[in-house]
Amino acid sequence: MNDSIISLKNIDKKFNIGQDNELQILFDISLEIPKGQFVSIVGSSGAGKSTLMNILGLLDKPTSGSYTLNRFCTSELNDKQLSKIRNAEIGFVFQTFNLIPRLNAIKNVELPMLYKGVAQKERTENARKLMEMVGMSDRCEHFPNQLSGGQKQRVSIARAMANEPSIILADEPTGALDTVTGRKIMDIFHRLNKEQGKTIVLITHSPELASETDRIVTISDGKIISDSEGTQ
Amino acid sequence: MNLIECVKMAVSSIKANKMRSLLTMLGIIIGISAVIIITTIGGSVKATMNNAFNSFGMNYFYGWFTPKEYTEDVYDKLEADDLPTLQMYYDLVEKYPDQFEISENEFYCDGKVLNQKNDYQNISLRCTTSGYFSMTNKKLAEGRFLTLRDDLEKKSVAVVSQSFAHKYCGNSSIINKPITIALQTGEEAIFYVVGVYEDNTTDVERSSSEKTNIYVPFQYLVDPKNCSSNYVTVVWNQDMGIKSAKENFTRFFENIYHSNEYWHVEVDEYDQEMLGTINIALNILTIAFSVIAAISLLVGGIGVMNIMLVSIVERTSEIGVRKALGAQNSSIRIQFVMEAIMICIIGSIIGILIGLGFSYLLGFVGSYVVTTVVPEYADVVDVTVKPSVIAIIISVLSSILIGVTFGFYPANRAAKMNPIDALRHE
Repeated sequence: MNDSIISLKNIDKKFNIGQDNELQILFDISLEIPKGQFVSIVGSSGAGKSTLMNILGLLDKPTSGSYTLNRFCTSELNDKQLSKIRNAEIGFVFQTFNLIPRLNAIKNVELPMLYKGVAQKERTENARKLMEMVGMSDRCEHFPNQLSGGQKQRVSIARAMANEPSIILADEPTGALDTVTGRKIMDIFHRLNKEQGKTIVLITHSPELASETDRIVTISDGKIISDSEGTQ
Repeated sequence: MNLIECVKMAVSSIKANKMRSLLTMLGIIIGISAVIIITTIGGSVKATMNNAFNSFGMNYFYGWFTPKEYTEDVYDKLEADDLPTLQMYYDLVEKYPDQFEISENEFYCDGKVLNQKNDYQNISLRCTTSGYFSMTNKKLAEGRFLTLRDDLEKKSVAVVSQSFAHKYCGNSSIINKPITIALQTGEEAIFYVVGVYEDNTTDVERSSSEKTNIYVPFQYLVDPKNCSSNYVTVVWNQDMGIKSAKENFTRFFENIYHSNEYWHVEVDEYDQEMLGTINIALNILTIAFSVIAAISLLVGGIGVMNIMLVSIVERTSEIGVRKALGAQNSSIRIQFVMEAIMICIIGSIIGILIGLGFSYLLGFVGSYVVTTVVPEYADVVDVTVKPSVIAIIISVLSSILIGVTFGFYPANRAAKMNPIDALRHE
């Protein structure tokens, strides 16, 4: 499909290839994700969600198959180019937040822009706007250890949005949060999706969370076993 | 990411964990401050010593009559009127008043002096030029020392010691009194005493058999026109400076000898060479000790490397996050090398400050010791603290080098980390 922002075709992933403990995690995964969709990828532990997310996030390369992200054909790219595309096209939100502890909130948000080469003034301006968007303007100078879980995740989301990426990849974003805080985070995702048309891929093991999204893709034993869009 | 960003990021990392950064820097701080202290001590001892030597009167050089070019047969070509005369040296002193003194001290003969009561004293007759007294720092007790005029006018005058004067005529003044010297050669000479010098012995200490020096004008020994000196001591006035003294001396004799094919009079720096040798020895010692101190810099660098290795393991997930956000391997590498460099630079600055501070402290202590323990030398030995600028510059540069060298291995390991494993680390 032409307006697919993510296009996975026949993705296989094997580890320890050629050795005695060769292991295949993903089997022939094909997936088209159109722009602006809020997709969740569901599966139990060990189903291959993390591996799939690593491939989606350009942190890992598939053993075979192709991955086209926003018209970039990623199989041809070397590490340097992959880093660049990661920086420009993908916004990560992790379960354990992964903020850099020695930087304050606003500097954390600035980080992707720093690696893109944006000038200091512009970086700080953008970062402030993003912090405002997630409702954290009054805590810009706080350090991560001074923030609650929910606040850290909000900073995380602001950071993910910093370079206006094509997709947001959220790996169990509410996994370390209580229900109330987790609800607030999900609301932010919904807002980003509805108001700004952001494509969001949510990885989760919770079917309840998944049901909030536009489309649910279920993985089991490295294969897609169901897709609420109908195509399998 | 440009250089300033890099430096800022490195500094903020260092500030984030001040105690650890300080401990990491410790080796560098110790090494650099040791080098600074050693080089400053070396430079200060040299400066103080050179000043002291000059004050002591090592402010002379020799005028040396010598061939312009040494060939085997040059001495066959020596003629009587090639030789310099004392008169030439006197002309030099006249031409540059207050800059030069020349001095010769020749022992002529022993003798005896009888006083009116027929007590005798043993004396040693020395023929000297007027410069001798200032050159040997003799102190005048009464009257005056010999002057050029005494030589030129061939006066029969003498300068005697305090103990001689006392033995000769007791408490009355010996000035302008004539003394008769019976020389061992059989000659008898009469001189009028014009001056008395302090000889630091009392009447009682010096027995009559001990000889005391009596100084008379040089021309008593030889006729100045015929006297040749191929080695004359030239004392120069320190206020005028040694460079101008040597220049004037050289120019004066160049005028006299420029038409002479084989001979001239030049400056011989024999004693200055000794000072130079001491300086060279001090330089070698300073360098040797600095090298030893620099070894601790090496150890400091190893310390930096170890701490950085620990640090990057601790920051594994941070490195993973940065990579996930799009940091290139080179960015990660530069980040950590820069941290190592900044630690080393900051450490070296602290080391330099400590080193200088300690050196100045030693200087104060040294001055105090000199004025209390050897006060007679206090006005001559002026303890100067002279830090070596070159050492400071080399210290900073080598600290940067250490940062790059010992930071590179850990930085490379950080750069090559797999982001997936790194992210999983915490």
